[in-house]
Amino acid sequence: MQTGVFLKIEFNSDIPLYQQIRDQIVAAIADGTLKEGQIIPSARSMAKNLGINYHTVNKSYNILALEGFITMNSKKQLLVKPASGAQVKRFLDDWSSVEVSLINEAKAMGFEAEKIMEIFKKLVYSPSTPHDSSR
Amino acid sequence: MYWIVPYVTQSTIKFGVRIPPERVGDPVLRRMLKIYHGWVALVTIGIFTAFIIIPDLYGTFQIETFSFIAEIAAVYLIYFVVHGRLKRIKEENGWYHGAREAAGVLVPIAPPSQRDYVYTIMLSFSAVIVAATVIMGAILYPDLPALLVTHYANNGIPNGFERKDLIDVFTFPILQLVVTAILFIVSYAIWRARQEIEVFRPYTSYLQQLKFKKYYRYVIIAISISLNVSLMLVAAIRWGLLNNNYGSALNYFPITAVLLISAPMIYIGQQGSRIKTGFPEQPTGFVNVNDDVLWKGGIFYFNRSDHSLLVAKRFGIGWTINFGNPVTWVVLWGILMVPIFSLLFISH
Repeated sequence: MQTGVFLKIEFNSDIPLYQQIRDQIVAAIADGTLKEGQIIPSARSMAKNLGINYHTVNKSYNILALEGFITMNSKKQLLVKPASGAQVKRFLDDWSSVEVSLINEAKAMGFEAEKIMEIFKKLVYSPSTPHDSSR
Repeated sequence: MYWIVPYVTQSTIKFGVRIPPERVGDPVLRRMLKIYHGWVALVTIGIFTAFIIIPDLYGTFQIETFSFIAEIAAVYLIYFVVHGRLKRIKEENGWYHGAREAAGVLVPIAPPSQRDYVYTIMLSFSAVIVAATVIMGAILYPDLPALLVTHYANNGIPNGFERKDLIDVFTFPILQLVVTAILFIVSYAIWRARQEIEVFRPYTSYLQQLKFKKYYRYVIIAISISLNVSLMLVAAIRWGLLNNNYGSALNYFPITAVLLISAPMIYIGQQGSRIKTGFPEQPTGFVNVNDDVLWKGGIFYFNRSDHSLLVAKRFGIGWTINFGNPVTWVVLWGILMVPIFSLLFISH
């Protein structure tokens, strides 16, 4: 039984609050709990429920909209949407450059290509976990 | 009544102090409860004795009101002492040391899309009662005597009169409308009040609060209807349709109704904390933010950066207001102005 998606913000974490919110929404979309067309609460209501500033939530929403994860419909509701072609292309460019640098780091550490693939496989197939700031 | 308050609050809020979930069974809390109960019992017995003795010596002048106020003042004094002591113990022993403090929100996946008829029902009930009162007034008005009895002495002999006036017919319907409007606003504000998610059991606390809010809404509607009915009955007495013998019973009707309706809330607990949801909750490893500093004495919430108007009470059942929100002060002044303006209105 799924009633909803639990989002939390940790105050004594090094990760900024807006980033925490953004990452958890992306994680929820990734693991399928937030499906396409699902309405996300307004920034105001989200801020009220979390007891934080409205602008913080707004910042996460702006980033999510820019990245193509959410959009606003004619009723000014925010909802989850599939990314557009241009957004997918831009994502692929950004993501690839991050991946290249990560792979280079691993190679410099002496990891074989096989080992790197293995780690990737393990991470991709493991149930998505919203990042844990304590680690 | 105050005896049971410590039992109905959320398990991680004791005497207005936020405690981490793993401390819920701590012997310190049992000791605090004992101290609280001991003093409350002692003070209650003392005041009750005074209540019995004083009238013998000085007469019965307003003794009920006085002892009632004294009891409440004493209970809060005891509460503040226990609150302060528990807060000190918590800080000295570092109960929150190393805790992963978080705030949480639950984004409902399928928000209820069906229309909500609760308010429609509430308002139509009130409309019927108000209309009935107006019709009753309109029918009775021509036959009313020139002098209306406005007050009866304890022995049932009229001792207050007022000249018949057309305004009189509308006083009760207007009062009914004001009562309905205020309760409607309160009920709506509560329905929209923020989620109070306990981050160590988010789903359970969400479901509990949802049930609690639903119940609370029905309570307010029931109170609104019973107040409207009693205002109608008071009007009926005033206009001579009902015998004044019902008058004294009517004095107690609203308070009895309120008590009867709200009694089950003790059972379901503050924010529904005693409701069993049976939700298979996974441990999250988080605790709610240690926000004691925002609660003056554990009772008055003062947070400028929080836009919420209503927040869940820490010692009691229901909601309290955020004194750090400027809107709160506007509302408070507004409420204060109502009696002042109505006094001015009546005196002219």
